[in-house]
Amino acid sequence: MKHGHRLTLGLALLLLLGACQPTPPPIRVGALYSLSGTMAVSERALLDSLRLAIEELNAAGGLLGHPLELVVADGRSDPEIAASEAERLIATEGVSVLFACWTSACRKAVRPVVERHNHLMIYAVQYEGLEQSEHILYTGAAPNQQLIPATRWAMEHLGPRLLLVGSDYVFPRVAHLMVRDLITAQKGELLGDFYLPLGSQEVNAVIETIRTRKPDVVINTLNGDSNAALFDALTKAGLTHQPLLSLSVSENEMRAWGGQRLRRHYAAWGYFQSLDAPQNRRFVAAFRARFGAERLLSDPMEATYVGAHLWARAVAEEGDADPARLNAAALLRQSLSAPSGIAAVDGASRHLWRMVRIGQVDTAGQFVEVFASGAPLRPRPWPSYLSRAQWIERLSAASLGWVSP
Amino acid sequence: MIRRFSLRLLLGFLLLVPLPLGALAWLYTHSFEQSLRATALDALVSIANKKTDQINTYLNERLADTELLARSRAVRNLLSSPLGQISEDNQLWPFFERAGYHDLLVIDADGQVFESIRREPDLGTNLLSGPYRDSALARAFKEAMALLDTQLTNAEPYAASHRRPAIFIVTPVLDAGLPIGAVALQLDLEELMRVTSDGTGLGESGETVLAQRDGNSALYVGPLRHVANASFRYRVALPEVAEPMRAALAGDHGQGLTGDYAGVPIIAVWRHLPALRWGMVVKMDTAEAFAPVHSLRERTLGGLALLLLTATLIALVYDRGVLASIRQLLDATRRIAAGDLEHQAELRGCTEFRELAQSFNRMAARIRHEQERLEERVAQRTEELQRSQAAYEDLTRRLPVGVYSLRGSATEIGDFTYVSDRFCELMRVPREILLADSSSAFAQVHPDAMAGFLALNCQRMSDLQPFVWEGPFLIQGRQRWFRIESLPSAQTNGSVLWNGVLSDISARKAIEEALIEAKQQAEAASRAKSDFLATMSHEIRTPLNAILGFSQLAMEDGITPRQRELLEKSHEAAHSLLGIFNDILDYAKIETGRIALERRPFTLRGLLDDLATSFSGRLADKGLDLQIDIDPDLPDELIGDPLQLSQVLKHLLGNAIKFTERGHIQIKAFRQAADDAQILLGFSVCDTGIGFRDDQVELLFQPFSQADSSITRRYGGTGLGLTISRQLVALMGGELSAQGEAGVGATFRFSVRVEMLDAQALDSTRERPDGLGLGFDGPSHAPLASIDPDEARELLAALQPILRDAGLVPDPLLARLRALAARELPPGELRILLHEIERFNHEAALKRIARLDAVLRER
Repeated sequence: MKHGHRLTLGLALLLLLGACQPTPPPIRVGALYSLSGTMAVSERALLDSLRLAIEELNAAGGLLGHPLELVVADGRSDPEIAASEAERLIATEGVSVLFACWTSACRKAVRPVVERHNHLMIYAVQYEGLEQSEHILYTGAAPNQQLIPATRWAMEHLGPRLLLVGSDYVFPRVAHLMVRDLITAQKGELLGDFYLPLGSQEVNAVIETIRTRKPDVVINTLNGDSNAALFDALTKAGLTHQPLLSLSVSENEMRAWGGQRLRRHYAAWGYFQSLDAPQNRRFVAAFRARFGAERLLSDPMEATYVGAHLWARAVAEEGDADPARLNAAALLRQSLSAPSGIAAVDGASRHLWRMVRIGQVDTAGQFVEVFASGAPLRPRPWPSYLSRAQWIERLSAASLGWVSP
Repeated sequence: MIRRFSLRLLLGFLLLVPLPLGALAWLYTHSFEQSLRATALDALVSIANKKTDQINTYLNERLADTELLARSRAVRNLLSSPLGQISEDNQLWPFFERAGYHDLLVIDADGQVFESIRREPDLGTNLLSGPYRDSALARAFKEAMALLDTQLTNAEPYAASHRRPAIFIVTPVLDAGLPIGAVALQLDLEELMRVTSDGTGLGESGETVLAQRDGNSALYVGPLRHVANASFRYRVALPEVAEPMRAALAGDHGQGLTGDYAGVPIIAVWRHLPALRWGMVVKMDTAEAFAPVHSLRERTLGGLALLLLTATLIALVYDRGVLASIRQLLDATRRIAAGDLEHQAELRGCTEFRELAQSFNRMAARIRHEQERLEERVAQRTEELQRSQAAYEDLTRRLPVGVYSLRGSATEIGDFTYVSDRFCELMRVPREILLADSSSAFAQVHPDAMAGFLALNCQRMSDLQPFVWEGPFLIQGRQRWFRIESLPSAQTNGSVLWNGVLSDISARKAIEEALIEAKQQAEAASRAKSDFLATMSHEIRTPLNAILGFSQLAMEDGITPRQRELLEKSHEAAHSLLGIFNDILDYAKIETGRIALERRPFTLRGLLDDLATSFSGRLADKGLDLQIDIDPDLPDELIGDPLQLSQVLKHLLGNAIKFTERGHIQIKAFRQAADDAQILLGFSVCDTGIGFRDDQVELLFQPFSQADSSITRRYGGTGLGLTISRQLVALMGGELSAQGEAGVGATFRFSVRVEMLDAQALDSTRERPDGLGLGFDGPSHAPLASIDPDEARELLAALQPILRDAGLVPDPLLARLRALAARELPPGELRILLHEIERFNHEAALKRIARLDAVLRER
């Protein structure tokens, strides 16, 4: 009896001591996405994906005994605001890592802030490459992991006569530059190279050229709702069987803009929601359980999710969430088995080894894989057939000199 | 006990030293193991990271080399000149030698290998169509040309190099944006293997395992410690691949304790090498990594065992040395406890133990002495107790009642703790059985009385009141009456001790029963007598009436004065005899309970007037004054039995007249008490006669007695009047009392309970007030009639011839009487008439008939 009392007392004291221990301060994770403005639809999805990863990590006990806290900032689709918000998140909010941006403009604006603070940013969208910051981990595709192999596949499987249509800003311009290099090398034929202002619905000239020149394939690097105009016009013109390879249209946009009306519509990504692998099934199930069964997943979302988990593993391995220390080595050696396949960091380029997949759009707007690279591709943000100096030279010649090495 | 003590001692020794030390040692080795594990893992992680970096750096340098080469003017010139050849003094040579490649190939845009440093069989073949078109080199060439990007092949056996595993880096050579060919470097795998076979920091059992995924199996690409000649030969299906390697091939990155390809427990770090699609596991056998812990643990355990042994030995020595003395003392105590007080403890061991033994012996001696005295006293007390017991037993044996003691509870009868011999005798049950089972006694309660007995038991068990019960038992088939009396005393343990006696009351019961029977017989006899009287009175009254009637008739004839005197005397005698008989009849009626009170309206004034009228003759004869005084507050109309009320008043007034020679008589009526419905009506009859003494009051009310026997002689009478009156008054809910003074007078007071005639009662009880003191009760009042109509007519019929023969009633009156009867005279009224006629109060009867007739005619 007495012993029982003492034991209980002891246990109670222990519990009390345990209870008295302060909960460790959270590790703060910055999320800088446009929650308003023209990019809101796309970037909100990235935030959800990041939120899922953070919640998973917290459910597994957080990191190094600390819970993770998501600090969200709204970039408002404006690079200047994004830069100032990045400044605030890093300097005031004290975040340990910054998941940020969709557009290259945003990335270019935030990059100097991150570098100035010797901080770490994770960027998860496929982009034009030609960049490598020592403070960014790029988890989206570099050109050699999407644009170039996709064009090569199109020329090989659909035909060498190409028509290019893209929005008039840096990514499509650089992309077309690289596609044209490939056309030259493969002795293909360029039937037209169109640039529409962002948001433009004027696609008549393109449609007319397609109707008269009948290209084997149209390479589409349009961004935003110009895509909807293009898909509508093609459908109206009865060109539903015109092969079309869209490089900036994921599952979300495909359904929104009605891209599934075109019978031979292809997209190139490293990740499709329809991938039949255990890791992806778990990912899709978890995301839908958290955000709703009607939600769609896309490549940038997966890249965000993978980026978060890679960062978390690096923190766990390093035993510290200090961005300067992570940047040095721990983050650059990480690899994991991701929904899209093996996701390994290439330390030399600070990009991920990524698969490339070509999918044909089915009537539901989902992608049916028709091609996949045999293994993840080495990221080459600077396509290797030119040296960095040559690339910079070419870009400035094409008035795209804003690209910094 | 000693053994247990020794065990405890041993346990104490163990608790004192080896156990805490053991716990400490465990804690120490455990934390040492933890930190060793962390340290070993850290060491392995840095080795693995270093190797990963080395491989990546090596490959990246080779990539850079190849791309540099592809952009070099030399290569471009070589490819653009149609007959280009690598001359002996080629610029490529130094480059090649520095890097230590296996081979360097230059391929033109058509896939023709037109230059090779090693000049292996692939030189001069076409990679798109030649024998090596399916090789990794050929596939990489095609990709490189199509994507304009450098390709790094998987490690695969290359036919042109004697199927030695080969890795190629292929870079396209561009001229003006057009791919004009490619350069391919064949890596020397030895360079890579050197990185992995470096066992620095990995100890005896450590190794670096490399494997690449090949379809659904893993192909080990480096040498293995446990598998001979494994490089590029040892192939394992993926599901069977050791855990760390499987994880590494799946792209994972981690570390931990696991098992290797040979099933040996290891501490391992695994990495994925994306460039080669290889998995790398840097590992060490747990046995080696944790050897310091194991040896520390062994040494600690050894030390602990030694400590344990020492502690046990010390405990044993201590046990022998100290405990032997204790044991010997203990033995002595045991012998004393067993009764051997002569035993002396041995003096041995250290001083304390000797002293202890000495005190012990002294104590034993003292006990011995005390015990002897105690034994004497015990013998003495035992003898006394036996005597007392014998006396008690003798007492209970001689007692005529059975004595018992029963221990019960609030819910159960319980068991006998004592029963005397007499108890057993009465119950005819042996004592052992009674003591064993109390129900053997109580089961003998007569079945008819059992329910009552049990109910009383239950009640007494709960209320703890004294238990007293008399009832029949069936003892061996014979019924006996027993009385049980017992008193409860609650015990501290919650039980209840019932101490009681059982007495045989069969004899008393028999006498009681006989007495009851005798009483019932006497009562029956008395009733028979009263019946006889009531019957006989009627029988006697009829001839008496005849005597009275005939003597009256005789006196009206012409007779001599002498005859008249005789007739008058006999008439008087008959009259007095009739009075006596009437009294006896009334008394008999009361005694036999045949008087039933009526309940009908009457007027008090009418009643008293009638009374005065009927006594007017006698009052005048004696010259007495009658004063009637009615309280004016009294309501005139009341409900009650006017007949019985006037009967009482007649007795009292008759007495007053009888015993008063001069003066007056006063009758008062007043209200004694009243409530809403009833009045206690008081009367007093006061005279100035002979009175009586106080001590004579009770005699007045005795039947057949008077205040003084001399009175009987002087005044006559049966002495029943007052008895009858008192009983009638009692019947009417009141009391009759007397007060008097000899020679001054007497006052009789009585009260009767009557009801007030209120308006409501009036409506429901009669049709209208008659004002005549007569009630014409409707059928609803039939119960008030004590004579039913048939009987009334019968009586009337019997009366008629007597009256007519006697010539007492004029014919017209008889006719009217008959007519009244024909109109169904109310039976109550008939009774009054009969009464009046029977008592020869003819005047009153005639008046009543006249009034009745008048009323009936009005109908």
